[in-house]
Amino acid sequence: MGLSIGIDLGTTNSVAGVATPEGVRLAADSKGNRVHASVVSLPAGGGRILGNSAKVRKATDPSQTIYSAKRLIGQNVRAPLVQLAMASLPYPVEEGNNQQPIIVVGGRRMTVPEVSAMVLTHLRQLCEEQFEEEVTGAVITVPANFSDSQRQGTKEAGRIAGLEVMRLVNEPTAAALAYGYGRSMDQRVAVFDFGGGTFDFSVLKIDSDIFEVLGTDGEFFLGGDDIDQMIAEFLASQMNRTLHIDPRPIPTAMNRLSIAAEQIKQYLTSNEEAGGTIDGIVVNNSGKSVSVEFELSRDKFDSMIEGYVERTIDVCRNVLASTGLEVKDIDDVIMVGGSTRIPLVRQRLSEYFAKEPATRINPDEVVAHGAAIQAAMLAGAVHEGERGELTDELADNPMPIDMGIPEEGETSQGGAALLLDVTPATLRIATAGGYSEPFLEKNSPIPIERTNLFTTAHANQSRVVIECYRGGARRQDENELLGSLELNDIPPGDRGEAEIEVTFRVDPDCILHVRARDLRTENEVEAKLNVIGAPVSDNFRTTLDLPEGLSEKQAAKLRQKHEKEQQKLEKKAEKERAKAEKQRVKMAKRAETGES
Amino acid sequence: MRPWSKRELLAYLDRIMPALEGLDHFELLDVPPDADDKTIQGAFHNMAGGLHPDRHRNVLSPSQHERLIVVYARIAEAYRVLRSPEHREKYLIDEAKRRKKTTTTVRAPQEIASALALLSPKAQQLYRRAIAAKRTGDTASAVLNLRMALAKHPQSGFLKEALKKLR
Repeated sequence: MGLSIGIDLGTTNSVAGVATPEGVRLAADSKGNRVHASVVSLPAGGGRILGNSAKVRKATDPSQTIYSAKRLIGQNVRAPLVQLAMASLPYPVEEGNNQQPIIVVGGRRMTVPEVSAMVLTHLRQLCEEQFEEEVTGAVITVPANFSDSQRQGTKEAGRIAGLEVMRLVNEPTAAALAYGYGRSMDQRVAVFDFGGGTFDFSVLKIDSDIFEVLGTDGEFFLGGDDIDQMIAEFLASQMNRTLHIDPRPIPTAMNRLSIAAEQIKQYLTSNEEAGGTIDGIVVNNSGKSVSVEFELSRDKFDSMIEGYVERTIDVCRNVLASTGLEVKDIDDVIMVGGSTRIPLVRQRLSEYFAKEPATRINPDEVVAHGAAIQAAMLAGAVHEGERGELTDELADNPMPIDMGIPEEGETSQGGAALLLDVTPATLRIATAGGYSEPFLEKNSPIPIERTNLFTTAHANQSRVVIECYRGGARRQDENELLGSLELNDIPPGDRGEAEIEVTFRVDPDCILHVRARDLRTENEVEAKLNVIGAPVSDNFRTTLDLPEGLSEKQAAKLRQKHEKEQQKLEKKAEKERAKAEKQRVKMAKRAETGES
Repeated sequence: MRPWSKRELLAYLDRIMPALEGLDHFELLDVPPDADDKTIQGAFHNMAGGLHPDRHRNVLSPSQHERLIVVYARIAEAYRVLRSPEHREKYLIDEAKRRKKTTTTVRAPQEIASALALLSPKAQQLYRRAIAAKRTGDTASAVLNLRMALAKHPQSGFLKEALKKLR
């Protein structure tokens, strides 16, 4: 039995750790950093550079350095917001099978879970070196508003990295666990999680060892990256105005400006005014590198990001309203994520909640703390089972797992805490006329199973398609399509005579499974939804990890062989896809004629 | 809240699994029909604390754990419905309709006799026990007996219908 670790797999940074009886220990790199850049660099000469050493290569080797992969995981490349995010990335992203994004670096085509798996492998190795034990299991955190395909992509990344993904835990929930674990409190807390790529807000009730999420919401594509982008745009327009050079169409120039933007943003956290020169952004016609001078005051910066900050406060307002609570009912506000360091964010947050947010927590590390605690608790239950014959006396008195975060003047109570999480969005089912109805509203407790009866919309309808959506709108097309399920061979009958029992099951990782049954024939279909954009594990290309100590010739041979295999696989997948597409069209037609 | 012991848990699962389809949301959460919000939340926390699948990971065999998740997911659904006044009201109306429907459709006695004759003596006995249990209001035993009968005659439409009505 190996170690079970907790991993905060972030858009810009990741943190991993293990819960021990002395408290949570986080894995550090050779320089002692506990926060690791979620960056993978694949130099042209071979090998891979990971974490903080890879981060510096964003500037020096931008086309071979992948960052912010989390923004692409489980996404449909054709979605407008994804297209927008892709435009600001210096590495090429192509469309792969099932419309999933494929990252192309140095001629290597990789799925996003494969890239994230490299980040996870790096964290796993750091843990293994530091804690001198093999890592087998992991709890990985995800933004609360992650969709099914994003969750599946994250699980897939863990699998590729050789980890048993014991659970996906929502980031704000993990933060609340780290905050309240072992303190046997009775409080309502708000978690404001403003990270590099996403924003989440959750309200929890902590009732001694039970952490119940009352409500959650968030926005994808709202984070530090977007703020950097905004500053970069500002610098670009400055450059255009003063030097008459527009760097916006030049990816390398924009990449340098975003790196500078991040530094400016951080500088403005503790300074009122930032100014200076950014060198070597572009090379002009005469072959000389061009620098740009800039000046940005805190006030100007605040007015630039005001819209973003107000959007986060709006989310807080909506979540509180949905839980029936008021600002005064919140006992403490926990800040998570690097973007909560921005003075305007803190100011608006304390104004809205009329209290100072909790500052004893490190916003970069708190999520990993919670994940590590949850991993130890889940593994603890495993250990119980491994004691061979488990007697009831033992089960009656479970070993206390004591790994609270010790704090001055407080004694850790220890014991197992329990996370009761919820669905972040309403899950809907399509009904006639382009509409949909809610099946499980957002903030439903998970795991959950709901069954309901549906019927046919037409007489003698022989087939129904159960389409599942995610979102808050009545009109189908204003929601996100999760996938569909077909039930065939329905016996002829009047409209409304058929009894179709549909069951939605949301598992503990918050992934939806749908089952449909014709009560008259007992025909049953059960399926995991086929989600567009989700990783297709069977077909996608794998990267080749060459064993060390090979000669150039041997390596080249292996690479060639691998490449051929990959091409074969791709062709096969392409054929299957075309076949499936054809069949789909046929079936839709059959239904039309059957119904009319 | 203390997690239940393995013995308590298995006894509970054995008791609840056969009756799962017949239990209403109040019975699942173990609260009275007039329970208020606070009682409902307290009951859910109590049950979650005792039997949440995370608290019994691998203490149970995989199939036992799977059963526990099924039961827990139903309890969560009961909580979802009963804690919301809107859902609760709709649920009560639907339940009343469902009960009315199941008591008005009755098969003719000779039909029952002929359907029964097609079954093995053991299955006939189980069916009679189920009917007797139903009369005393013990839906759980009725369902259990019908299921056992159905296990002997998996294709019997008669038994399937009887089970459906009971639910």
